[in-house]
Amino acid sequence: MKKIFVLILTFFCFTHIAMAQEKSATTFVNTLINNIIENVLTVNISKEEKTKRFEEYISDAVDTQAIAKAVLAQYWRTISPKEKDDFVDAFKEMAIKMTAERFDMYNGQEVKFFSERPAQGKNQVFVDSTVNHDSKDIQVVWRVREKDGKYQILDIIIEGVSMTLNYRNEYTAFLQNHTIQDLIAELKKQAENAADTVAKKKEEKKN
Amino acid sequence: MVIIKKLRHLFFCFIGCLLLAACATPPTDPIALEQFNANNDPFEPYNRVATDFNFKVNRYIYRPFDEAYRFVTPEPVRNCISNASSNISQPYYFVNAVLQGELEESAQIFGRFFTNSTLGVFGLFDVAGALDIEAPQKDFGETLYKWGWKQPTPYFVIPFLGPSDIRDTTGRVVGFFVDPLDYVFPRPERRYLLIFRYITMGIVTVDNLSELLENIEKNSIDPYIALRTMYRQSRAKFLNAKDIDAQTENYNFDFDDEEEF
Repeated sequence: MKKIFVLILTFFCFTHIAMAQEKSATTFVNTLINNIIENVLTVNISKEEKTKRFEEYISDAVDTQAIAKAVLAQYWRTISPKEKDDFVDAFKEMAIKMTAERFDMYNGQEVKFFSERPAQGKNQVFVDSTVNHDSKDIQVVWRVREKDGKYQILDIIIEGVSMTLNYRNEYTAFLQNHTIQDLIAELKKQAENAADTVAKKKEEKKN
Repeated sequence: MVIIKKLRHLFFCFIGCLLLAACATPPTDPIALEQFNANNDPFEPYNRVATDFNFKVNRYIYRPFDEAYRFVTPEPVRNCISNASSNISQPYYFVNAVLQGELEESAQIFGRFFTNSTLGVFGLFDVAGALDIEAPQKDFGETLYKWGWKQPTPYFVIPFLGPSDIRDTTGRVVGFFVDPLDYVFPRPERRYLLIFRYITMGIVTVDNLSELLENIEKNSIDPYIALRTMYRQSRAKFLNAKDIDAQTENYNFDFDDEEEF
């Protein structure tokens, strides 16, 4: 009887933990998006301030280190710790500046969440959602990992296209004929170009 | 007609010669060979030239056209053109749904076509969408996939049209001959309908994709690889629209947790 009681208790405990985790990954993404909408996209502050705030959210909510490592695939093992740091910084800077270029595109799109599915790897799930854009539902899947009680995004899959996989294919192809220093320089150039585009757009609006 | 036939033959001969000349030689190094096989892109030299050409077409023709189109047409007009284009493609989707044995989907497509062609004034208004009658898009490339041509085929870029692969290019070519518009209507009308279908399809495709293409060109270190990866992933999702596990396989790669940074 005692055994059965312990079994039932264990079952309920695990179910509870599983449900709590399941809810938390979705809640985490939902809260992050709401925070970015409220405090970055719809607030009346300068573009520089918006980019700064966005960077703070991304630094906390996205596992840039893990993504950078996945993106470089076999090349990650061949580069020095300093090159790793430089690459992570340049990659993060490029991603933030590129996204900042698109802040103006937000005009009230809604995100709806549906389900969670397990992903390959420890404590990883896919959070399924749709974003309504131009009266069409676009499928967006968030790959989230829970580590030491903290959730972080590893990948965003838009209509079946994985951002991480896209960068991986592009960068590993580039590294077949170039060095990591070339790649870092290219990423810096991309970040600068994105910043220039933001400045140009601002100038055009003023005129 | 004779001239068109001759031009067709010439075109196929030209593409054939181009492909033979443009095949990449497989490398001898085992690691490079593994990568070469994984890429499944033996026509890469040709594909790169065709992609560069398509980016130029996009920059100098499609983008200016789309900007002018958006400037002269208000959003409701653009929606009507998009609805009409979608509606006139439904018979083609219907035939492919039947060929794929998807009876439920073929009924949905028929329902959508019937509703929009009548209540939606020849497809100008998406009444079916407002009534939640949704239907999937179907093409002959997908039909070939459902019939058992499952293995991935080499990447192939079509000038002016963009990324594809051998199976889907075959599907496009055969697709010309399975469009019911070409059989149901008498001669002059069917020609006008087909011309209308391809023109509106071209306008809508350019409107939907030209800006994305411009962004890919501007924001990628290697736009060719970026486009190839995007095409393959989105096509895999399309081909497995109802199979979420098969879709997931395409992006559920290992993040390699165990290894230390």
